[in-house]
Amino acid sequence: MDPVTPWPQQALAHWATINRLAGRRFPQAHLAEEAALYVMDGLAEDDWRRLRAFSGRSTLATYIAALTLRLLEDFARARFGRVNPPLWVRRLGGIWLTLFRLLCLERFSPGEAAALVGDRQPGQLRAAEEAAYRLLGEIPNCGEHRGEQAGLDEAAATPDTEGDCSAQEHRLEEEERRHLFTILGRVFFDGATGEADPRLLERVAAARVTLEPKERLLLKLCYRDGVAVAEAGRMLGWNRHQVHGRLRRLLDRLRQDLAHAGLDEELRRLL
Amino acid sequence: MAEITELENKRAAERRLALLALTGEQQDPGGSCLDDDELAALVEERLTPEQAGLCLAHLAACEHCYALWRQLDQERQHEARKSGPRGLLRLIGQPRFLAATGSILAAAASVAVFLTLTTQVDRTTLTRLPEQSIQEQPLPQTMPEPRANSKAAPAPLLKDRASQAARQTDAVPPSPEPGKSKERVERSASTDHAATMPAPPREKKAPMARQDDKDWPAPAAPGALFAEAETATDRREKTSAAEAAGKAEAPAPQATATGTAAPLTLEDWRRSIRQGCEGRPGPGFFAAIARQGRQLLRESAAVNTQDRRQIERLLAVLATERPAAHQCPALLDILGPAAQGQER
Repeated sequence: MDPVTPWPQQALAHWATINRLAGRRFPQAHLAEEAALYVMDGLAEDDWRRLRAFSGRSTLATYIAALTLRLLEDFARARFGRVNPPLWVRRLGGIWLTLFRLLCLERFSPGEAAALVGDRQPGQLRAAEEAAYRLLGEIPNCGEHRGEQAGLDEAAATPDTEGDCSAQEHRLEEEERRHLFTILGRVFFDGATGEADPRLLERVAAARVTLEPKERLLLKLCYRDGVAVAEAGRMLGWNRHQVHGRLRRLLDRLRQDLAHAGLDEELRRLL
Repeated sequence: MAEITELENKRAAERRLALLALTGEQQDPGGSCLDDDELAALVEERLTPEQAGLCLAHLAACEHCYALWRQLDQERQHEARKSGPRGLLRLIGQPRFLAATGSILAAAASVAVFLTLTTQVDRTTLTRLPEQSIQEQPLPQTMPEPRANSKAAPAPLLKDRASQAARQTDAVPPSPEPGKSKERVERSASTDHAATMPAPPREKKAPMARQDDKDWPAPAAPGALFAEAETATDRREKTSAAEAAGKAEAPAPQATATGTAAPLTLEDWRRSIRQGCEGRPGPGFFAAIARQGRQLLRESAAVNTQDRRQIERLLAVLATERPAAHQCPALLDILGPAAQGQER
């Protein structure tokens, strides 16, 4: 951080980074330019309030990149609206959420959306294409609510967080859960072993399996987002030997937990 | 092929197990989302372990922050790759790189030590083999007689060899050029032991060799019989006699202190004997006469049998231990009056 240089000049010094991130987030040139200007306006808001909040714990470049990514998401919401994704998409998370936004909000074609995901997450192009077509198959009205603002934010829409539920809401929730495991069965097994029984899948998913935050992140990174194990270890602060050992022990522990829950047979049939 | 299929099936099973675990357990994010400052510090690994643990716990439950974290990490990796040398320095600073570098250096050092040891063993072998062969093989018969001042040899081994050669060459004729051959021997010895012995002081040895040359008789034809019969004792006698003669006590017309006389004929020799015996010759005179006589004998082609016998008789008289006053009559008696008259 240079205390002498004024904030406008420091922000302009990172204009190339802002422009590049906007171009990656919005492939259309005019949209990317509009988004970059939106970011600049956001930075300059309240006499550069966001930049003045910089504490110096990181480099200014990384801090401005973090601000830019967040402001680009704000621009996308303002531009395309907000739609709460279905439960099964939220459960799956990762590229499913990204693809849902690209397909159902920003109205990209499945190929374009998959290419964008593949650009952000190398090695995930094929998985993204399959996921994009499955999303469109499972959500026929995807994109109908484009431009509309949803009334609920994501946290409030999570069924687990709701305190009092009426009987109708319970019924809807049950239907959604059944739908969730039906789709999860299709997604997980996808013709390899035929569709799994949703009730069987629900029983397995309902088993008490506790995961530490780092273990959960490790599984997300490696098996959901397709990040290399060593790379995931670097992000979590482990070296490659540590992360491989931890992953192997974690999978062994998951099998043991499911076996202790009396799901030996179900596990054998599912896996 | 079957192994590949089995591996793929195993990976697919692991993936399903992981996804089941992820979908089965949904956590409440709890707390507020990470601000940009925390997110940037987390990506740059500048948080304390406790702070990083709290941030990662939130990321595990919040998909929104998780997505931002991943994008920011990718952006930082992109910048790191683009920076080039800075990224290289960062790579060098990583523990795993240092560990790999240390392992490589240790391996290189091991190879270097191995090669050094191997080379030293070879050198030792190469050095010792000639020493053994030199000590075991008999000295050549043409080895020149070592001199008393061969004690100046730089190493004990050279001294031993010199004394051994002295013992062997009592009955062996000296080389026509003993000084040079001695130099050659020492030079070859120093060459053989170049690896283990210091170089001999050549600036000291060369004058010694020249000094030795003064004591030796004048160069003669190689293989001369008389030269073969000459021993070290004879040379010492000659040297002491020449020194005792001092400052040309006798005329000794052609015998010089250096012994490097001009080409001599039999008649000249006889004349010099007669001229010398006319005065009061000293021991130096008789030593010079004896040396000239031996020189004449070496030139066997120049004298006939009768002359040779006469020379030998004269030398026999000169070799006897008698006073100088009795030497001349005996010599003149052998030369004979007729010859004496002719000469005069």
